[in-house]
Amino acid sequence: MAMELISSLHALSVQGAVRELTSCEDVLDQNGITLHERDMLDIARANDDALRGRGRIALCGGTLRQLAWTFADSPHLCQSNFAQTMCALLPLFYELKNELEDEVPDDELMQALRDAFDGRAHGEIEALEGLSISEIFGKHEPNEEDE
Amino acid sequence: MNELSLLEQCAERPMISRELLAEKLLPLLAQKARERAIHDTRSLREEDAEALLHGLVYALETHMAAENLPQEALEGDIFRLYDRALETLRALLERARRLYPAVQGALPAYASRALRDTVGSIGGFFARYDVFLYPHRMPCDIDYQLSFPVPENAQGVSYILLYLSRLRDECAFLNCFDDARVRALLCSYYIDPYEEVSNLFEPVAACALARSLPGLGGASLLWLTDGDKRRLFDMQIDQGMLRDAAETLGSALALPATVRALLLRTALSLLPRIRAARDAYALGAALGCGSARPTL
Repeated sequence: MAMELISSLHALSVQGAVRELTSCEDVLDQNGITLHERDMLDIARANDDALRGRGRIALCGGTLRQLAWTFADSPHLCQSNFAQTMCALLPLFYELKNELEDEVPDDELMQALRDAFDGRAHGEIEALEGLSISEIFGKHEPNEEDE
Repeated sequence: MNELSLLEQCAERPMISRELLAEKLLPLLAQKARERAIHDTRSLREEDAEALLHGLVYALETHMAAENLPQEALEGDIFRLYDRALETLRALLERARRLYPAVQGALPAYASRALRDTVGSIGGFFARYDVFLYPHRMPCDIDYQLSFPVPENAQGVSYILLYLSRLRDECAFLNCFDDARVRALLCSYYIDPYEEVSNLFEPVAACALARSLPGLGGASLLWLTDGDKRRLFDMQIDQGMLRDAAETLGSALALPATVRALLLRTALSLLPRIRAARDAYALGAALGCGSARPTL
């Protein structure tokens, strides 16, 4: 029974994603970024894939808007790579939510990702994906030599 | 239709369309996620969402069944409806809580281990039941089988209330008979009644009903002699006779209405077994009397 509802909720979350991205046009515009309809659809689909792939469902929306706001003024992002980076960030974000068992608030995790993206990862999404949780949160991870 | 019947009906068929629920439940689900202390999150793991949704749906459906509300009730303020649903669940919980000591006190001295353990475990249910987040869950172990099980889909406090109500009725019936005679009957029917997880009411009710058929001399003896079995076998027992026997027995024991209803249901359920019995001894077994002669 509840699984049927989960499927219906997934469907609802896709419908809401594009509306959500439209609502953050102003903030993006201030940073020289314009999301075209096709970009929004790509991000909405990436969000849905990321949610389904990591066994999560969106509640009342807000993830895409907050992620866009958090990364909009990154010095490493611009019109040409913003949508693509958003699409890559979403699975990473949900993966970390699962690994952290929802113990870290969304905004805190997004900020940690942003800091790590600008810092350790030097604006490279592949480098960000390769970081450990401790590294993303800016902690020194002890290696065997340290011990 | 009384409240318990409505709970049974609710357990047997979902009352709210899934499409409507999905649309209306998202805001409630978000609130539940916050109440579950999932830190400021805009998404949930499916298993968490599923458990919370299950609880929401159960609460709403139970309330709508208890209040006989149409689906349109979901079109209004869902938070208000849900608050009322919680009130309904709390009322059911209170009812079950009040019923519990009555059931404990009604357990016969010969109650089996499974029956005692189950009733003991239900005591823990009241301490662990989470009406806010997971009201559909049943944090206790139900090992003892009732003569007529609670509907499979019944959940949470609805299940416990139905279980306790039925168990109270079974115990009320058993307590009408002399303990020694019931023990003797059970020992002829089960190898070790104390270790038996099967129902204790059923063989006693079957035998008492058989003895309430015309010419058998009444239920208090609670045993069928070989002569009784032969007489019953020749009698061509039909549905009407079983119905009359249930009525006779209910009046003789001055049973309350709910126990009489249980007795009638039991009587009617005996018919296929009676018809399947090929001889007087098989019929005796179908009517609660095993092959061993009881020792008082």
